[in-house]
Amino acid sequence: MSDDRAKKGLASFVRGLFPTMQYLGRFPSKIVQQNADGTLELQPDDNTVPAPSKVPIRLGLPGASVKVQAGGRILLGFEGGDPRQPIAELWDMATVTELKLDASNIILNGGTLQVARQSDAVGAAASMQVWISSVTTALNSLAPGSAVPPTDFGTISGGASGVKA
Amino acid sequence: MLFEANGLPVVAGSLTLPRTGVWTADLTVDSEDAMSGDVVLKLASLELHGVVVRSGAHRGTSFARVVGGKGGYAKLFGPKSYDATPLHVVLEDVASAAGESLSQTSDQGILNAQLPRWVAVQQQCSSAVQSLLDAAAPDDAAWRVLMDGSTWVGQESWRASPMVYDLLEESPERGIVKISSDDPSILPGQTLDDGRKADSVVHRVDARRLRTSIWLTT
Repeated sequence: MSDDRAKKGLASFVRGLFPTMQYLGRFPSKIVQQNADGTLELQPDDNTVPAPSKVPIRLGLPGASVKVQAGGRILLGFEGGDPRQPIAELWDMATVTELKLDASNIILNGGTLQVARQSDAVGAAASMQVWISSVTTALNSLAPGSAVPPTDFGTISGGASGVKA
Repeated sequence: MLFEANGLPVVAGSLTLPRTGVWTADLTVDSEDAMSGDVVLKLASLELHGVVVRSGAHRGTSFARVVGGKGGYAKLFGPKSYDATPLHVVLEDVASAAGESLSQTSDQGILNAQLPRWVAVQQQCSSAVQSLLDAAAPDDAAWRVLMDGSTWVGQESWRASPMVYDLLEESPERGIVKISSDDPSILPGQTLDDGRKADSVVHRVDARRLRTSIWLTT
């Protein structure tokens, strides 16, 4: 028992020297809600940790932001061990409903070609250009001036609904 | 009587007054009954209000450990989360959880400082106070239980102590001076007559004498 008492006293002494030591840990938490500004309402598993409000997410990727459903899991930490600066980081599991990336260049799978979007103009391929030219010439030989080749070929009318750029 | 506890003579003991935290006293009292509850200690002109946290009696002598205030800073506080709150609100909550009270002489500038947020994990009340000051108050801010049992928060004024004393021993390498005084009234946060700053003050009393060690700031 005397050992326990000594240890208890020593532990209390150390805690006194480093009062923010507990804030250096990371606390597994459930996402209760995501606010409109992207911050989270969290419920830590550890009942010695309060449920903080408006906790910013540190995704670890500049220019990225996410929207997630309630029920996901993440770690609650404190920047620099400061009780004034809770942060949410290191996802365990979560259903992502939106992922935004903001960068000058976003490259997928090492690609080098530009990505087309809904409403972008579509140009004719080389063989189509030849065909259009031939048809235009043929029509105009029968009725001169009646056929004018198109300057565009249309626009993209659809795409993957879950990906937007 | 040089040193007494609730009017009973203290035949031996020590009284430790830290600049940060809670003062404590270990007492050997001329009494057959174990002490309990609130205690008023008198040492020369000093009067201190505390509470017995451990005691017993053995062969006609009573022994007690006394701590300043209500002895509540070892209690747990939290968990609790605050947003856009003045520091004094959190401190008052901590003091309330500890059963303690803030001193009216505390620094209002520190008490009124705004905390944009504060997430208090469950911890000892003493740790909660210290972490609040570490994060939200000036670097030299301190807290301690005063002699009247209230809790002071503020910056030291380093007022000169009027104490008259004889210098008995000096340990510059340890930053400690030992003195003798009929009224060792110097307190943590005050200065000696040569300007050196008292960090902690430890009084030791036995049947023959009172000696005071002053731990100087570095």
